[in-house]
Amino acid sequence: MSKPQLHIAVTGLNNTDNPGPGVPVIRGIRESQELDVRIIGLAYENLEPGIYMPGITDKTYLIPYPSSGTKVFLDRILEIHRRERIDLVIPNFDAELYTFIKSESLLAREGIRTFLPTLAQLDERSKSNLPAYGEKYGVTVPKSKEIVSVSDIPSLGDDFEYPLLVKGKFYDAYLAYNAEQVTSHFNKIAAKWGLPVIIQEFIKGTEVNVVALGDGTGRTIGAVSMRKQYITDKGKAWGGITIDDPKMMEITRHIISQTHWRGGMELEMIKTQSGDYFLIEINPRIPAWVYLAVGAGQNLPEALVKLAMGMPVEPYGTYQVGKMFIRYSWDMLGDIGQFEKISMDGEL
Amino acid sequence: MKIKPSIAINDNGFLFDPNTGESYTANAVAREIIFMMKQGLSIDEIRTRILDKYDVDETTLEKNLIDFQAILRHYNLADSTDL
Repeated sequence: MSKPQLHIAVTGLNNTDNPGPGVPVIRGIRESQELDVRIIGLAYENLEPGIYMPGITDKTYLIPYPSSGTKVFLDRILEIHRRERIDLVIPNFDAELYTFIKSESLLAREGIRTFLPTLAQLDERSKSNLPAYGEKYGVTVPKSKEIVSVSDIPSLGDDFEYPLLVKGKFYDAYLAYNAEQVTSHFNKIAAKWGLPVIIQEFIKGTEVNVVALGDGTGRTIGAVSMRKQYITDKGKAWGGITIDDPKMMEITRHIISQTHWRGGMELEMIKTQSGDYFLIEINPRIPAWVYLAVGAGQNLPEALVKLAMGMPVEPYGTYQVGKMFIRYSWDMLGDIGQFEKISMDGEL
Repeated sequence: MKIKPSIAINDNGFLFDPNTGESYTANAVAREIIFMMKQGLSIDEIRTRILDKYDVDETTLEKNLIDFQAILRHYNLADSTDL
């Protein structure tokens, strides 16, 4: 008996030097032996590489940014749904999660499933709430503070030692060695991501990350830890390797069991020379390096699809340590006709 | 001093620490010493074997062995409690 074909819509096709997770999520899903899928790409820009990459999407549509308004955004998703019958949508950007979570029941009524954290889960792990989160769940986090104005900057020296980190509420983090640098970074981040801007204590150590999937009942379906080996000037992993770090796994399982996290997540931690772990960020979605987890034996995108579709999923136990990924750039050739079609028709 | 059991080393002298993801390369003599440590030989036994095998005076070997142990400790490749 043939398997029913699932129509899965995926965002985050921007496979640039600051990559979205869409392409690796799709690769994982496509490698599933159990799923038959049609992938519908949802792109915000007409030059997102995933639109043009062969074998990634079956069809791609341009969609408006969530900032253009929930109604405009949802109208477009539902218009695509009427043409494609979307069974599941996997949003891969932090900035669109709020809209998708708020619209979860509306989408469900239309037959579009999601597998996302709740709004409360999303909010409590936000960068600005991290100190309270650490206290509530017994996880060590660096000291941090929200600022909303340059007038907050001179007094930072009272609470923090330089250097410190200046972070946007969704993306971007810069190291600042003095108040002047904080001001410069503050202005840049505020213009791009809005307020507040987060000031965070700088913890010296090695950055280690975990990609994990929670099923919403407190169960960790899978988790793989990775150390970045090569970091771009945007702080993104250009190369990484899976590691065996029982303490990180323990922290991950603890967080998922306590929070009943539903969906993919990335924990960013700093391991100090003395072996202490500081949780510096929780990204509420699958990270762009998830294909490393797939290669190491945990196909978390596939597991997420199965969870969303109500299929049985057994938790992964182990993964291959010492599996590496290295990104590369590749000049893919296209035709002006493709560009014209996505630009003029909003689909390709 | 004992090399941590989790540290993997191959015949080419390539070391991998699965806990941190760090990798290192050891030259031929360093590789030999690490293999001996993994077999559980003491530093005295290693010293004797190296002196027997290589044309090296005791003072030079001692100095290099101390340096090498410090490097292993620095990179957290050896259990410093077993010094």
